[in-house]
Amino acid sequence: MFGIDLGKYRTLVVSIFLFLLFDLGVLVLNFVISSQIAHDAEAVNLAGRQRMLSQRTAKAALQIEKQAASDTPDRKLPAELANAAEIFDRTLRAFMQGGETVSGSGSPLALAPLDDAEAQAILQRAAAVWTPYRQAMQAALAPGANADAVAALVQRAEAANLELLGLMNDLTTRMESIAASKAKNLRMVQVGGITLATINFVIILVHFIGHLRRADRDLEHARKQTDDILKTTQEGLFLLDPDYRIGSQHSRALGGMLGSEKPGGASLIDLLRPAVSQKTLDTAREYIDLLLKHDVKERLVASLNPLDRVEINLSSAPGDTSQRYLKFAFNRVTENKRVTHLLVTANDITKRVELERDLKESEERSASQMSMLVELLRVDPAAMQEFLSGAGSALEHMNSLLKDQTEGREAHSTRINGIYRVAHRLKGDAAALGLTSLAANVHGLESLLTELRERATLTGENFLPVTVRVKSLFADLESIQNVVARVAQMRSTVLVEAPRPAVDADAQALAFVQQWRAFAHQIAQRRHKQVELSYGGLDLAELPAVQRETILSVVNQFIRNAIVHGIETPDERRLRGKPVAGRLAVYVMRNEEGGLALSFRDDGQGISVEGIRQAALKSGRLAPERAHTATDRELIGLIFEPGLSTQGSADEDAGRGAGLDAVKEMVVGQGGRIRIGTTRGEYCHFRVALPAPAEQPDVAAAQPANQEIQT
Amino acid sequence: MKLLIVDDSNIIRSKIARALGAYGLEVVGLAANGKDAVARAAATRPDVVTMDLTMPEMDGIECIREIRKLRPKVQILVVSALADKATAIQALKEGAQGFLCKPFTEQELTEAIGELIEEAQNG
Amino acid sequence: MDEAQLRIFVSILQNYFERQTTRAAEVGTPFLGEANALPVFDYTGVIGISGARRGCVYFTAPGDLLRDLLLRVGESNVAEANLADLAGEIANTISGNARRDFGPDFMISVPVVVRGRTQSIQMPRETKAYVIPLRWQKHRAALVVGVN
Repeated sequence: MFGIDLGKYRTLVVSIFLFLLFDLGVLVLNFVISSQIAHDAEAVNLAGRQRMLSQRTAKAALQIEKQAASDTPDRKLPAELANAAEIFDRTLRAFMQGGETVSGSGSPLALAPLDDAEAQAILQRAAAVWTPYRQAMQAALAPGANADAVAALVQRAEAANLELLGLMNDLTTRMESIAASKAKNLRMVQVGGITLATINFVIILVHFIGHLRRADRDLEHARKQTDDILKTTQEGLFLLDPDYRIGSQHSRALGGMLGSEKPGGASLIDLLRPAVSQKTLDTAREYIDLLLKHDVKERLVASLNPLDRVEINLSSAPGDTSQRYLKFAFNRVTENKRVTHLLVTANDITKRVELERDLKESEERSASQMSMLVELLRVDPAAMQEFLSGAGSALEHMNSLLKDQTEGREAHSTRINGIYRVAHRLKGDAAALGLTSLAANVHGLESLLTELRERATLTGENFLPVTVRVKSLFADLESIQNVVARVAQMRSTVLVEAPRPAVDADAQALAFVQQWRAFAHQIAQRRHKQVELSYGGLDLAELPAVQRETILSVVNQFIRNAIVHGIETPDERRLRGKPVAGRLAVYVMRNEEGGLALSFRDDGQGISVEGIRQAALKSGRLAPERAHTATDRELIGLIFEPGLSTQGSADEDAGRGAGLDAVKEMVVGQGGRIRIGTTRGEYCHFRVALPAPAEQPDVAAAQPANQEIQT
Repeated sequence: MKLLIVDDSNIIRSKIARALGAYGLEVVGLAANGKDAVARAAATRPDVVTMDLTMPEMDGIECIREIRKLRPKVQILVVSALADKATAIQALKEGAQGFLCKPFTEQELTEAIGELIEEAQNG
Repeated sequence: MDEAQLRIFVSILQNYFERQTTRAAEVGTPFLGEANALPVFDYTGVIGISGARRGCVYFTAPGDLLRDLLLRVGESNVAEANLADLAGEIANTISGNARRDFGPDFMISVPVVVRGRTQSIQMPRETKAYVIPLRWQKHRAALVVGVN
């Protein structure tokens, strides 16, 4: 309908339209029928007049005859007769064929022929009587008419008079009855129209009241659902208008979040004012404006929301403030593509924020521990290892005290004291080694225990922070162990693997290599150590006997020395990040001068300069003063001196100080040289050069200075 | 769909160009400062612009204002590492449609541009 | 897993007992257990945790406890299937509530119920788990939290 969408009002409009249509119909019919009835009344009057005129003509005819006999005839009578006859005649014809006649008041009046068959029949009969009567009248009234004509007229009049009167009477009655039936029709039309209109009205009433009721019920239902949602949701939900006002419909939770009894109608900015900085507030206003008034993508500006984490301090009672974190999210509400409001969702994210913060703190804590641990690697590895194993059992002990579920004041008190004692000792040990962060952590545990001691009542649950702390100490120990191992591994991989020619698989199968290997395993087994020996280079069988034997003997000594003094126990090696089995690498090759070069390397703990110093002092090889001033180079040189052993007590593999002095004797005896390279904790590397066998060396010329020492 | 990239970092420019080139946009210009950006916008008539905010010569906010005068229907995505939300909001009010915070992933970038393009094609 | 997070688990469980039976469960002294030496009773409801933190949380209880609990809430059918259901429901409650309180670092799975000693509880090996012993009406149960 011209593009106007009637929507749900369509039925109503149609009903009202019908109602008006019925009324209009009744009105039009009413008008038409009423005018017909008026017309009919006129005709009835005319019919009545015809009756009167028929009498008047008869009377006039009789009077004319009477006066004809007298001397003074009334001159008006013939005119009167002619006039009455004329009107009767015209009216009769107008009734029959339509035409003009004169009304009662004398004005001309147009008539339609009567459309009623019965009335026409009456008129036909009247005309049949009237026509000869009218002719007689004309003959009698003609100038010079004689008495006979008058007599004939009177005769006619007497004959026609009664019949005409009767006929005109019938006509009047007939027409009255037609008019009456039309009036009846009119009433029926009116009644019908009003009935239809009433029915229509009733339908409208029933239909719309039902409709309205249903709509009201639906509305109520929807309102209740909305109410329920707003009442129960944990989120703060509300609409925000362009003046930053909170809509009247909001979730119940909102009040509690904002600390306002009635947030509806209040300004969000005002409510937030005490909680956030002026700058945040200004930015919030700008952000809301941006969403409401500017052509931006809602999703692509969400990251600019300044209210995505608002810290609010609420005081529910004096002195009792709680800190909450709220997150406000803004979504556009559009009507006809225009943004009218923002739907705001406020969430309490306190728990989440706190968890995030805790997580961050604990990550920071562990990061700082790591960096501190790296520094703490200066601690002597043996002392560290001892501490770590002691600390591990201390923590296990604490855990076993927790695990014992005996309850009651007494048991709890015993538990607290037991854990405290262990903790206190652990703290002292950690502090002594300079493990300050670990000591601080243990100190924290002590404080927790002190707090527990002071509590009036104790339940198992109160121990939760203690357990958490013990776990974090376990974790500290583990990370110390990891760092120690990792750093040791880094050193060993960089340094131990330096000069290592490709190992020839065939060389491994050589008989003398098998023999060295068996010898190495035998010693290692006795010392509870593990070793692997690899060989590369010449087949010794190709060498002259003297050289071959020197090499075999020297290598045997080196093997013994390395396993006894160099290679650490598997536990120690693990701690330092080395492979559990110590590595012995042997190479023999020809050097440029046609002599032999022997390389023997182990990845053990290297030579302990301090150990040699002590041994030299003890054996009296160096005077105390000399011992303190001796350089590392000088001290290491002493390992080739007879009678010096760093081994505390003698056993079958070492300790008697024999071995390396024999090596020196042999090598120097053949004119060769020995070089030593060592790094404490990492490796020890002997390199022996033997000259070609043809040049028999002068044994006496050999000097100890032939040892070159690299540290 | 023609794209103009405005950023004073060469690395960011090529990162955006690579990602959005693969996404199907035609890179019609790269600009390292605001003045250059306005000149290129006039010359290349882009549909979409990615815009840094802190740049030499002319800052992003003024640049957005100028480009919008030239091309009223252009879609502008602010790409900035701005810590200050207020400045970014100011930039959006000057006529940008979206904000993407640096550092961003390729997916975040294409999603943001996807949303802007949808508008440009519908509008 | 810190104290606040553990407390969330403990309080969820305590609330559950208090609401269902008006009798709170008593919490024993929490301790640490190695992955291969954790308490497991007849019925165990296991929740897996993934995301930035990984591991699992389980509630384990003997059949007697679950039977009494069922009777107390007016359920007279104490068939095994119902006991397992109850253990599952408790784990479900823990998981549902925990999901609400933990941030995106914790992806909490739908619980699984296992009967008896079983290998199907996958505890992280490299870290010790928290064992929180519970006592309700003389019955022992435990909540075990192993997350690294």
